[in-house]
Amino acid sequence: MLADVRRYFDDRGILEVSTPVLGASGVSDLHLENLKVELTHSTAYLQTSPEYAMKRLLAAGSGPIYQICPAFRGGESGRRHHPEFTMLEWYRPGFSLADLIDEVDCLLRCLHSDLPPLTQVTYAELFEQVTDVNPHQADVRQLQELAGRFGLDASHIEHHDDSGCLGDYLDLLFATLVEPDLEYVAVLDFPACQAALARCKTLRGAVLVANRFEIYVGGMELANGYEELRDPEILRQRFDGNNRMRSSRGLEAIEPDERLLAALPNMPACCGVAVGFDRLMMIVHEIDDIGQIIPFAADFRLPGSAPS
Amino acid sequence: MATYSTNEFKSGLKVILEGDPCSVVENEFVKPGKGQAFNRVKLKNLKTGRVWERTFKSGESLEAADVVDLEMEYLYNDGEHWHFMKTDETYEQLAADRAAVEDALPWLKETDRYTVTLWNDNPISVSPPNFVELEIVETDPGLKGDTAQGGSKPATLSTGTVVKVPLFINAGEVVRVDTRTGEYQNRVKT
Repeated sequence: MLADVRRYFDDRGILEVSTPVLGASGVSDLHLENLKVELTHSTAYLQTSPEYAMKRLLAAGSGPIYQICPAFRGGESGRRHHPEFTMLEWYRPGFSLADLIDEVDCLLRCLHSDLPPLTQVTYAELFEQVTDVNPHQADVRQLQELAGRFGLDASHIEHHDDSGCLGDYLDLLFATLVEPDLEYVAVLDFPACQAALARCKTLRGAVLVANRFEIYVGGMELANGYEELRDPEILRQRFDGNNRMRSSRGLEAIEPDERLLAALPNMPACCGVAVGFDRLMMIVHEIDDIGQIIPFAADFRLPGSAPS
Repeated sequence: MATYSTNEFKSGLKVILEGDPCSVVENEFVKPGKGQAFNRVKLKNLKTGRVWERTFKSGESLEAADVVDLEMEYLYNDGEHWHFMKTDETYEQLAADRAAVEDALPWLKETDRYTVTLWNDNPISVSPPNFVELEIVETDPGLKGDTAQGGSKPATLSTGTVVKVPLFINAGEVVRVDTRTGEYQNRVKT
């Protein structure tokens, strides 16, 4: 499968790159746990994705690039998660989000011929179909009520005076009520509070949404694509916002990656996507536990706790 | 007291939730991309038998419950409590209340063995074996010749439970019953 993927990108003239697994900067995303490595004179971070480094390459004029590399996220372990996993990530200067969705669809079909036609639908449409509530306009109290109405226990969500718990409620509702039924779907226009490094756009002159997509296969999140944000000031505000949320939750602040912020103005307009390569293998080989895909994953499982 | 974190939850683990002992039925780690991780956990309340579905923040802990299953012999009922005896060499006796024996009552026969679930050494539930053999105390007389197939009739067992049996079965005979479905299995030669 690795050879098939490399052939796919070679045929399209996309350059394979390799960026450091151990980076000088971490990510400030509220719910990503950086794994730190203490070096003699500094602290380094095992990269949660190759995104920052690849964007610096784009800014330096690399043209279209792809990478297949290990990525690390602390505290993630389950049937679809493992602290070390393989990411397939690529960037396309000049592509629209629609072009990139087509390219992901095409790659997936190359690897797995039995996929149904890809459905494209907005986050709001899916959310409203199930809940009758507009996710872009709802406040925390409304979402809390919704969770109650659907009998969902939301006691794990910490309440703070910021957009963090809004995102947490949206995630709980979407992951529980919507995701399991997404057979082969590209979800578009995410809530603005979940923009991460995507550019936001205004719909019908009123609603701010994140111009990003996620592709689900068999109810599992597989690919996450952005129209990449190129404004360093907005990105800095998002990093600062993340760190405020981190500090109110007693989490350590993560310094913004100044090298990325400095490079961003030189990055060409582009779209990029990350695909969980192990999950792709789960789909192609019809296996429902990532532990059976990743070699030696069992070394990390607690005795007897293999997912049933 | 020992505690277990959500990443140690596995099927069969006994923990305390809202003051009641529970057994973990299923534990699923859910994490939307860059969103908050949680564990969706199904737990069976061992006192009521009800299954709860809860979400926990990943890494959250619950207190371990001291719960053991013991095979014990049923002795007698004193009107308020049902007395069971350990089948190891200790012959130690324990009394279970109605709430604990409720599910086993239709099948409870003296000197038979049952699985008794103890929480902090107190019986909280009693489960019958999958099959029990009980005597019929009352049923319409058997019909000669009708030994193979055909209809059924109600029969009262020694425990008072009524089950459907084939027409050829007579009072005084012993039958084997599936306690999960309450269905007659076969006649037992005594």
